[in-house]
Amino acid sequence: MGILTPAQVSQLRIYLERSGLTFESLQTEMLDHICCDVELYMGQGLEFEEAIEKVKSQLPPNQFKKIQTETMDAINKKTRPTTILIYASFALLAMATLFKLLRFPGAGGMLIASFAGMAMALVSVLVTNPLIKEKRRGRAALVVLIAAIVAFLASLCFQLLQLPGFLLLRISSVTSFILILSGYAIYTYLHPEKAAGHILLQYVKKDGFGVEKSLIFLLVVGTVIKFFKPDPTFVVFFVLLFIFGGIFYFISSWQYYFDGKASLRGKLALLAVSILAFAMFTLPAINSISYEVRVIIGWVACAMAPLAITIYYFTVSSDRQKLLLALFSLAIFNFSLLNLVIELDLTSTGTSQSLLGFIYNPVFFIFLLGLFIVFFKKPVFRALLIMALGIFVFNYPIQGI
Amino acid sequence: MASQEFVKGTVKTLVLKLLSEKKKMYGYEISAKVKELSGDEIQLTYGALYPVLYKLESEGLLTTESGLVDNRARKYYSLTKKGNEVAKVKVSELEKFLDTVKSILIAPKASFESWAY
Repeated sequence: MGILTPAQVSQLRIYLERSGLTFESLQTEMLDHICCDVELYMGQGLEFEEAIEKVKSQLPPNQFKKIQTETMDAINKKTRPTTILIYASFALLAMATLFKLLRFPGAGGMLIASFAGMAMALVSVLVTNPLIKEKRRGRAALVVLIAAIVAFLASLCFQLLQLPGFLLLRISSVTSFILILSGYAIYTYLHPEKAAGHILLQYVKKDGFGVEKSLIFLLVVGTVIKFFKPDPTFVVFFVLLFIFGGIFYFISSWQYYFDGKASLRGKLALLAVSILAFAMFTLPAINSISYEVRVIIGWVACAMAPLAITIYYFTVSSDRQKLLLALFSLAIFNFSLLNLVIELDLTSTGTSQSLLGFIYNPVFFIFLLGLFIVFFKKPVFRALLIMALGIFVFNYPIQGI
Repeated sequence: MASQEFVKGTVKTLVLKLLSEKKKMYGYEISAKVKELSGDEIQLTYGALYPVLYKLESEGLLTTESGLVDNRARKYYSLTKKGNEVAKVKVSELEKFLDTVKSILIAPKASFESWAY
């Protein structure tokens, strides 16, 4: 059995990496295995390249990606503490809400424990996830992002407990979100092939639906509280929905930079619009900015996202129902635009009132809900509707709140 | 060659059995040994072997150690105490199962005569 040269071994390593095998310890092990196979064939008289081809010909398509997924699934059971923490914190959140609605004592404590649980779950991901524990690309960015999210959750706890320092935590976490993610977006735009292997982007691509389920949970609970038992607690759910949703969908939009067929101009436009929209959408979480400014930049951001999605559906999308989706996205854009018109006092008070009545009525809510159900399987449109429903319910005028 | 459908359900037991007979083995060695012992009938593909090895390790049945061979990192697996016990149970379970399957396969077929009674 011949021994492969370091150059040949490294050629095989590159092959594995390009085939999607990025989990380092599995990659090292598979490299040894594939080297043994190649050496076996070379021992039978084949040249190096021929031996590789022979090994490759025996592999089913996407074999290495599949092995990695199956292996990750097998060892992910080890990361159970994270899963337990996530479920426990969401259960606490639901219980806190129930206690609050039934006016039982202890709801505030539960709410804070739930935020602490979420923060611990995020930290536990960093410590226990086998992919992150390895020297994977993009780990530093993930650590900083998680630190910012933990700081944001802490700011919510501090705010509820009326402790000093909440504003400092809020300002630092929100500005961190904007700086880190904008920088990361630019990096992904400039070096898509490098960023594609980053752990955060791979997670969003592969397990993004898990995050969306949490967003839907926050939306449903927040909506139930607001409509059925008006209580200011609902705000917490929407703050979490907007911040987590904003971050998640901002990162999701970077998948577009990996699309080799998409035009450079389109990518640049997305980069500019998404950074601007994300910053303007997140900044209102800083309470010390004046109310008028927060409302206006918030609505501008809420108008930019559906406009960008409308343009996407009208132009580049290859969806069979693209025209329909474009028109519905346009309707959501108009919803934000009308809100902006009202907030900017561009019309007389009477007109504003009738506009408010026109937008905020149960029919429009049912319309949005219907769209959400019918087009649930369209990821981009679903993202738009989860956020639009959140914004609609959050702003729905109800007496007594 | 044996169908992958049948192989899949037995990989775990085969790995445990081989490791119970040798102190430590690496991935390629395990698949080569299975191929040899089965007279080329059973080929453990990468996809059949590695997820199982990682699963057994995460269940605490295997431990690993790394070494450097031919300038390459090599990972060796060996059974833990718990793994040794599980190996015995799994092997005897598989034997029993194979006997059962055999008894079904070689059961006398209903013949024309049996219709008469």
